[in-house]
Amino acid sequence: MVAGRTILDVKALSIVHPGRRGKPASTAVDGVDLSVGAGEIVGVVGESGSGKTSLAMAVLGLGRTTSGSIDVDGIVPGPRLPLDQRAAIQMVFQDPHGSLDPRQSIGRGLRELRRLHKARTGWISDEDLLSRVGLSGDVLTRLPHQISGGQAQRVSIARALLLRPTLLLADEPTSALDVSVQAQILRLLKGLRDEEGLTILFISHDLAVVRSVCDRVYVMKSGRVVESGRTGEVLERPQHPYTQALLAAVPGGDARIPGLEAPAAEAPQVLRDELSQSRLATAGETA
Amino acid sequence: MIRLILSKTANAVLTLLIASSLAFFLARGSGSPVREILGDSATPEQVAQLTAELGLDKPLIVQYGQFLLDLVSFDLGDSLRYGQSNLELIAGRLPASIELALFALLLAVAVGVPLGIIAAMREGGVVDRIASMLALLGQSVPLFWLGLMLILLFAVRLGWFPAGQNDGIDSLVLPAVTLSTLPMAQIARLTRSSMSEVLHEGFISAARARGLAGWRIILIHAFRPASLPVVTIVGLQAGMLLSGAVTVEYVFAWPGLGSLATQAVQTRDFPLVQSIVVFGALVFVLINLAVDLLYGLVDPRIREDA
Amino acid sequence: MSALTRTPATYGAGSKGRVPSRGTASVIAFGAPLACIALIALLAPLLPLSNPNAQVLSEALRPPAWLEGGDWSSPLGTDQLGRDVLSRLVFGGQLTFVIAFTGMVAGAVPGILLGLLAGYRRGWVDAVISRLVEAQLALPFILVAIAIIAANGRSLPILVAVLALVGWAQYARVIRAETLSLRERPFVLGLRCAGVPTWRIMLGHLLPNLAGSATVLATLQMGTIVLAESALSFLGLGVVAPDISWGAMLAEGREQLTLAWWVALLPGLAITAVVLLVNLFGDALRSRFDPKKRSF
Repeated sequence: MVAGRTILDVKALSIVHPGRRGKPASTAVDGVDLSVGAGEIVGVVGESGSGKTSLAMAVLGLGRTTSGSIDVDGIVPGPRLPLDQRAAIQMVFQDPHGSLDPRQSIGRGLRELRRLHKARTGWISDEDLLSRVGLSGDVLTRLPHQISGGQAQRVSIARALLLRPTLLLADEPTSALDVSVQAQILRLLKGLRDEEGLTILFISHDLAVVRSVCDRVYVMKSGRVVESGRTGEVLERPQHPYTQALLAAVPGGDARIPGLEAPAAEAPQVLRDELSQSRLATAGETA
Repeated sequence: MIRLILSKTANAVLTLLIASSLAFFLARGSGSPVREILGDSATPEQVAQLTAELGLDKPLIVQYGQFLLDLVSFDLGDSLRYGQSNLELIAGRLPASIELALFALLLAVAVGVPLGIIAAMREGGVVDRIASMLALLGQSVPLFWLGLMLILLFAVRLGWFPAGQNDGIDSLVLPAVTLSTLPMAQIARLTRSSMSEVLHEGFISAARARGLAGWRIILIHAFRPASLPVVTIVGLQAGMLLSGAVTVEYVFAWPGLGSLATQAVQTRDFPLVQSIVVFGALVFVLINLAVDLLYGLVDPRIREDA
Repeated sequence: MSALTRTPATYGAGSKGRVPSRGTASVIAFGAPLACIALIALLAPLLPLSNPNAQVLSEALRPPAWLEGGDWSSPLGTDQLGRDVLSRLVFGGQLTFVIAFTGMVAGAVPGILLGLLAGYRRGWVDAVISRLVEAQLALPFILVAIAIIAANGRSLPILVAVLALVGWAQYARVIRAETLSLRERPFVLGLRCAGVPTWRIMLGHLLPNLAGSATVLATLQMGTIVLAESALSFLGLGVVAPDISWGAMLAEGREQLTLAWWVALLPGLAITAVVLLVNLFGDALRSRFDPKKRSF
């Protein structure tokens, strides 16, 4: 997929966490360049401690940056963004139940977001929003502990979608879920990209997941990008020894998520039609 | 280890400083005691004179500065009524308070610890239920009332013990029993819960499997690790006992710090009241420091933490 | 000073492994009598009781009705001024409950807010608040109360303020600790990410999640406050005539201990019973609210 506009542009980003109580300062991210085009799903792969999460928090504007720049479609993320710009960057977390307030029903949570972002959220009703992520309106009255992990993750995605983000960060969104539910959530994310041109930065340690949804991939180790490129190329012909080691660690070397194939090939006809429409729409907007 | 001592001590000094300042502002920042001291019939001249005498005519911040200066030079000022330094007065009453507190604490440990151990051995059993009910009762009863009832029963009706004053070991019994109820309840509760935690650990079963006799296991293997939190609570209670025994000392007319405090209030001896508060905080902080350091000695994990 | 932050692990009467239904049952079992006592005390003016301050000297020190010399016109006897002990108990209970409740609220509100603030903001805010909490806990309560009342005179507002001081540090300490762990849950990050303002996250999201522990704490604090109030009134520093509280009644009863034991016995029994019920109720609530047992 050839990206049009660049949505996320990270240049020479470094993040150093200052040492506390005698522990030395640690460099979490070390001179990372990274970009995501409109409508792309880009993966960031690496083991824990590779700097993925620090990177995500910085892109979100809620983490520390030491040097370098981050640009999200004209917005420089930071802790004091105006509401409207804050809404433009959303995130889906790893722990589906933990990402919802246990004492707040799904419906009340959505109402809170609507009150906060009046202009931004009028585009869709709760029911339509939920049906878009494959849920029925029943869940509106439920509390988080009354729905399943997969449903909770769909709700999280719906909460992000409601704000019409320009960039969605997904931090291991499926690693806490059963394999079958995993595939459903991944299909949902891909569908949203295909249908609505959603741009996603997908953070994961799971090569199988990355292979099945990402167009391009960055491999991170100890805060640096050691390899990047189209997913297929990087994973079929890894150049860097670290990527090779990562691949070797996956049983069978080419694990795939059951029920998920390469992008677009498996999308139903309707989806593909909508896809071309939304591409046209995006093209129209940028023109 | 030296670093631990230094940092803990610095911590304690800081806490004491803040606590004293808190006491200062709570008591003095909220109003002038002169009216309370002299009563309503005082002339304006008398009020002005005493205000100047106590240094209350100066701005609050200057008073506070003076208070801190006095504090670091261990000068707690003079009593209004006794014409003696507050420190001397406190020192004069301290032995009686320590005697009472020590006796009460000994009693609390002597009863509370075995009670907790027996309760832990048979969780949910009769002893456990009775012990936990007693512990709860001990935390719910107003101490001074318990003291009154003990006087009524053992001094007035039965005549076994004297009702008050400090003369001889006999007169120590009733106030010490009264004062020991609260720490006894807490020590029993804590011993029971930390024992039952230890008893559920693997090494106890291993000891049982090796064929060690029940009581040996309980005392040597289980109580030793379980005693650490008990030591903490004993330390905390010791601080409380010394300074918090006001009502019990009042009931039994026990000539300790607590009754000094009540007398000071009744005679409106304001500087003395404040000195006792600061001294109480000092005792509490010091005992806590000692417990912390003891902990550090016994448990190496805490040492590395500091 | 870490010993201060080490809470003694308390255990309720067999609260471990209690099944939820029994938890609810004991909440009701201890809550209902408590509610009854509070209701009777609060409705005192509507009950057919004699004036608690009416002095009938000829009737002074009459023992309870079932004893020799007793009379059913004053079922629990009379005190040294011939006032009806039952009536004084009920009216005294009224003030005791009102003071305990206002004192509890007056301590809970600042304590919970400061605890939330310290736990959520961390950094220097936390350092300052935590220091204050430690210092407050290092001050022996009854002595501080004496110092404050000595300087400000006796009045109900001062008494409530002093009682609030008993509690705020406890609330702040517990709520801070719970907030520290709660704020690390991803939903808080999600809310920040959605632009929800900090005060709304604290009051609208963290506070409801802390409601369980705050309720338990508030309940147990009520017991502590009833005891503290009675101690202060007993020393003549709290409630004074013509107002009646159980502690004030005890102070009067002390004078008549050898002549009329019932005047001192009954208010003490009332205090013990209420505080015991409050503690049992609090323990029952704790095992009911225990987050580990909630079905997530």
